[in-house]
Parts: sequence; structure tokens; C-alpha cells
Amino acid sequence: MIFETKEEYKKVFDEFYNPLCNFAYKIVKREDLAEDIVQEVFVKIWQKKDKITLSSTIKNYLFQSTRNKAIEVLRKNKLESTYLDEKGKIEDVQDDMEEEANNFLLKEKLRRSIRQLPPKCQEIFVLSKMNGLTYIEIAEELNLSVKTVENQIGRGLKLLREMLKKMRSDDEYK
Amino acid sequence: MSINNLIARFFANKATKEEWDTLESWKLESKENLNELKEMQSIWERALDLDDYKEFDKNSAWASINDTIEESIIPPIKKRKTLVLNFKWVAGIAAAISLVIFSVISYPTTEIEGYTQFVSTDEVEDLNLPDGSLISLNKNSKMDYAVNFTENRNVILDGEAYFEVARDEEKPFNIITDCANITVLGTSFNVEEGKDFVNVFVTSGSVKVVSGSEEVILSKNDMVKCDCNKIEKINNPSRNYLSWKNDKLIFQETPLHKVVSDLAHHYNVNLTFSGASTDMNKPVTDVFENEDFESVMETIVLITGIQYISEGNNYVIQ
Repeated sequence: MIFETKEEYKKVFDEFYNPLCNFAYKIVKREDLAEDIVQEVFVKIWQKKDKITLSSTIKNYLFQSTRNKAIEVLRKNKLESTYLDEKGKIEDVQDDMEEEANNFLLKEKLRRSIRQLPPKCQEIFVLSKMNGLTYIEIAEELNLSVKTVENQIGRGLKLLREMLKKMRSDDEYK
Repeated sequence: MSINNLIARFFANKATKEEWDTLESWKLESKENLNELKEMQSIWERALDLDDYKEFDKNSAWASINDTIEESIIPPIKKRKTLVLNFKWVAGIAAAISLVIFSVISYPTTEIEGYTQFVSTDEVEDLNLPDGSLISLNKNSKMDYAVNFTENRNVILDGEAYFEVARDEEKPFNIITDCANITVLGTSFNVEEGKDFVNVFVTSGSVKVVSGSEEVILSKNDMVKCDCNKIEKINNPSRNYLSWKNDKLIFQETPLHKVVSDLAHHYNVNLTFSGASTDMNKPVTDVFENEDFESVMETIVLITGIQYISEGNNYVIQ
């Protein structure tokens, strides 16, 4: 038995849906297919919840199932992907799934943390890191002083670090 | 200048020599400062990877998943059609025999004189014979039965079938295959005929098997394999010999290699190991009923931690 209640299931969904979609997207390179794949994985795990006894973690199960499904979809639709070589074989099968899974989960945490930054701080941080603007460009864009931009960047990093640190200790008490 | 500004300038490679030195001495002030700077650096670098990290619509995904699982009642089991042949039904199967036989006979597809041919393709077919015997014919199998069946209870099997034979002491029920003749003394059994072999598995009653010069009498839960020269007894036959009939696979502390061979047979896929490994003996305990292959494999992956790759109908366990 994996989930006793639907609430537990929903919790797992909330935690893993977005990183799994990103993982599937990396393989199939299409957002709609990625979402279909992950939704199917979630429906299946619910339907089989009473029969499954996990030998490893729910995280490993979800990532492994997503990967299997994604590769199947790729082959079925004859889609091109850097994930498969010309003969349709999986490249680097020995890929460390666990490491890859952790990487996606970390990105998810960072993304969520950035979303929780105070609005101005968030805007500046996103312009700098995601849009690749320099401090001077951001200052011009937002009509602020460069000093303010720098200050907000430093403050943002501090806040992010605190949020991630808190998430880590929350995980340990799970 | 505040430490926030210093840090921002430092990560953007904009710090002057003087600012750099100030940050260096702040860093060395305490272990806490050092850790903080290290962690901020890692966030700074990781944030770069986020530009191709997407945000999917979780709420509508949840709505759709929720709809699906709310209405997901177990899919109805496909009903097999029963073919009742145009013969007079002979009353009751007293002490029926069941047996499973798998056999492949290299006789031409044309009908044999004095016999009526019955062929199954993509579905398991149930067949009621004129004497009251019930036969389930596995997919892609063929059976010929004598036209005067009520007098002459002979069938010729090419493929696999499960028999529940109506008892009639006067008229023996004979199953003719390439490698063996099976005479039913009153019971149920499975006959599986392969290229050069016949497997007979008895679930109740007793059955006589003759192959070449050898002859054995089988009773409940006995299984033999005949390779046209000799009859070999199979100890502890897997119950899954009947899985094709009831679409149910049962594993109880079954070593993975046995599970793999049952699955390959049941789903008609090539499922193999890429090489010998200790994984082959990992025990599997589960029951699969009316499940598709992919879904069974998902559970197997979960139970044993194996990984597999697939190409068409070929599945290789790594």
C-alpha cells in the first residue's frame, strides 16, 4: 500500500508533478506529450496502490516509470530526441537515475523559492538570471539605481539560501 | 557598501580589487559566513539552468487525473464468445476431465477428411463439443474433430487447448498430436504442443499419454513434456500453464527467471536477460489478473528493481 488516502496521493502529486513533466519534456521535447506521460503515470500508481509494495522510494518509482513511458512514446511516435540514438537505442542507459531525479527536484525547489521572493526582488533576480540582463540594463529597465539592483540581488540570494535550507531540514524530518 | 551589494558584484565579476578584499575578510570572519557564500554561489550557478525549466499547469492536470481516477472502475472483463456447435447436446459433464495440451502439428491447413476444422486467431475460443466436452482453444490454434464425433471421439490439435472431457467409459476421448497421443480416462487437462514437443498438464482425473514407445498415466497436477522420443516428467509445474485461459498469473516467491519465462509465454513477447545475474533469482510474489504486459512489467520493475529496454516485441532486462 503506497497511499492510505487521496490526500497523501495529492501531496505526492504536488511535489512531483512539475519536476516529472520537466524530466519527460527533456526526453520527448513536447510539452503536451510530457504532461500526458506524467498524468498516465499518476493515474496508474493510484490504480495500483493496493498492490504495490515499493522496494525503493516513491521518487525512484515515479522517475523510472516516467522514463519508461517517455521512451515508449518516443518510439511509438518515431520522434527525434537526443535521448535515443539513430537506431532508436537509449543512449547512456547507465545514466544515474537517482542523480537526474535529484537534479530535477532541486530545480523545482529553487523555482518555488524564487516564486516566493518579494515581488521587486523576484523581478530583478529573474531579469538577471533567466533573461541574462546585466545590473546596468536592469537598472535602466526598471528605472532604479544600479546600487539598488545589486542590493536586491544579494538580498535575493540570501533569502533563497534560507528557504532552501529550511526545505532541507523539513525533508529530514519527513 | 553593504554586504549584499558586494556579493552581487562579486558573482557578476564586477568587484574591484578593494571590494574583493573586503569580501575575503568577511568570508574569513566566521564559518557561517563562509558556508553562506558557498551556498549562495551554488544557487547563483544553478539558477542559470532554470531558464529551460518549465512550469506546467498543475491545477488542470490534477483536475484531469482526479476525473480519471474517480470514474476508474475496473475495466469490464472481455467476455469470450462461446461457440455452440450444431449438434445435439449430450447431457451433463459427469466427472469432467480438464487438461491443457500444447501441440503443433505440421499438417496442411486444408481440412482432413472425416474431420471438421476449428480455428482460433486473436482470441481464445470456447467450444462445446457434441459429446458435452468443453474445450478452450488458445489463440492461433487449430483443432480438427471427427465428423462422427459422438461415435468417434478423436480430435487433432495444433496449438494449445484446455479440455474438460465428458465422461464416457465406452468411448475414449483421444487427442492426436505430432509427438504424442493422449487418451482421456475422464478429466480436465491442458495440452500445449510446440515445434517438437507436447506438454500435458492434468488438473483433475487421469490421462494416458503415449509418445513413441513410452506410455504414462497422469493424474491431478502431473505434467509431462514429450519430445517425440521420450516422456519427461516436470516436477512442480507452474500453475501459470493455464494463464492463457483465465488471464491470471500467480507468482509466489517465484524466482524472476521463471516469472520471465511465464510472462514471455503468456504475452507472446521475447523477454530475456542481457546476461546472467543474481537478479534472475529475485523472488516475486504477486497476482496479475487481466493486466496488460506493460503494466505487469511496471510492477515487476518496482518489486525487483530491474531495468529493461524494449524494442518492438523484444524486451531485454539489463
